[in-house]
Amino acid sequence: MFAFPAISAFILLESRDVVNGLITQPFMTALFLIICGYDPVSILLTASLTQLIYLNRQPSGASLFPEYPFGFFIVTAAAGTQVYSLLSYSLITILIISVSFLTSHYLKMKRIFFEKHRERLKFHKRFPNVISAVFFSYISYLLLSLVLYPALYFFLSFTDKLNLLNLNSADGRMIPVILCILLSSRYLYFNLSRKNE
Amino acid sequence: MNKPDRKTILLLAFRTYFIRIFYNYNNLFGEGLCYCIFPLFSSSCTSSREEVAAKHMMTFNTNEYLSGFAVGIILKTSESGEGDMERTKNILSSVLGSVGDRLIYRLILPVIALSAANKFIISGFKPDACSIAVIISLVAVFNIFNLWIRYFGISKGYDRGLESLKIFKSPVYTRIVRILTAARNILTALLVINFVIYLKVSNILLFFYN
Repeated sequence: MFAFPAISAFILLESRDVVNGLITQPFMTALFLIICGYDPVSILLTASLTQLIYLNRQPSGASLFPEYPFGFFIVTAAAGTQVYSLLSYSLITILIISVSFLTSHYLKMKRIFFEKHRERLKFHKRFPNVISAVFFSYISYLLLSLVLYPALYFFLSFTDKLNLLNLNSADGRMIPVILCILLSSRYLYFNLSRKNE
Repeated sequence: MNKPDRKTILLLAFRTYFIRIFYNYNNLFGEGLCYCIFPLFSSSCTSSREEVAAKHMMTFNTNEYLSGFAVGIILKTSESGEGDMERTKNILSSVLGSVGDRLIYRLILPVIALSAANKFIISGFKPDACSIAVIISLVAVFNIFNLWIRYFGISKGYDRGLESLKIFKSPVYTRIVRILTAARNILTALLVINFVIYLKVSNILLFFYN
């Protein structure tokens, strides 16, 4: 219950604040989850879908950029190791989008708070200090993960137990595969219709 | 201030990895820039922390991957005393922000993500050794580029000042952008085809026919 929130906080730190070496992108963290025993098809399909949803978004300055590497990891980690059903895929996709969006707001609040108390949280002797900045940022992300992970875990476990809508006869992969086709087609059209790179 | 040696450039490049942690809505990358450039000032004993902070902790924007150019050019401008520092920072803020975002987030990241997605689907979403090797290689190559562009930016920026930004108008750079654009579009088209084949082969839509 503590390991995944700690890793999620690290993912948010790496993808947003330090290094930015793409090691926390969904296609990488999906491999980590598979090593941990998660179902490969469910995880890789969800990772591909998440990448495609946010492929044409770019983090720029003060805009609220959805923190999808964090959203993907914490939601799929909380979903457990089972093969996703149609309902699971739908719920997980909605939750990844919601958590990513909420995290961007949390990040904005965190930045405003850190700026207000920068002498204590980011500075040492009135000069930027990387150790305290990284430490306090990680702690703030860990707090968020420790709240989100159990909530997601219990919510997804609860919905998994309910045999809602009696959709078990349908193949769950239908939703992400169709969405991936639509999103990649849209992305291709968007790129081909753009004149300058 | 002496020309920084390889070790100092590496130290500065390492510090640019942390430039985003200081990002804020007040001066954007201003605090991060102070953190990155400080070692060179402190080694030459020309400025104290207070002086560096007073001079550079003002609004500044960049792209984190191209922040090496910003560090190199600012150090060069600061050392030579030629040219207006504020004007230099304004040029850097607009050029590096837009060039970096387009290069990384519209080209390189999509090419890597689309390659990974294509590999996943070709292997039937089963993580075989080949898929893992391909993805780890892609990320490793990106990280070598990530370190190189920071090192190169500091080195060239320090040598040539604002002139070093002309690299983004050079024929070589234009060719690289064209290749990456073509690769991204081909990979996207391949992904659509692969997903359609997967949809047909794996009988996912059988539910509708029953």
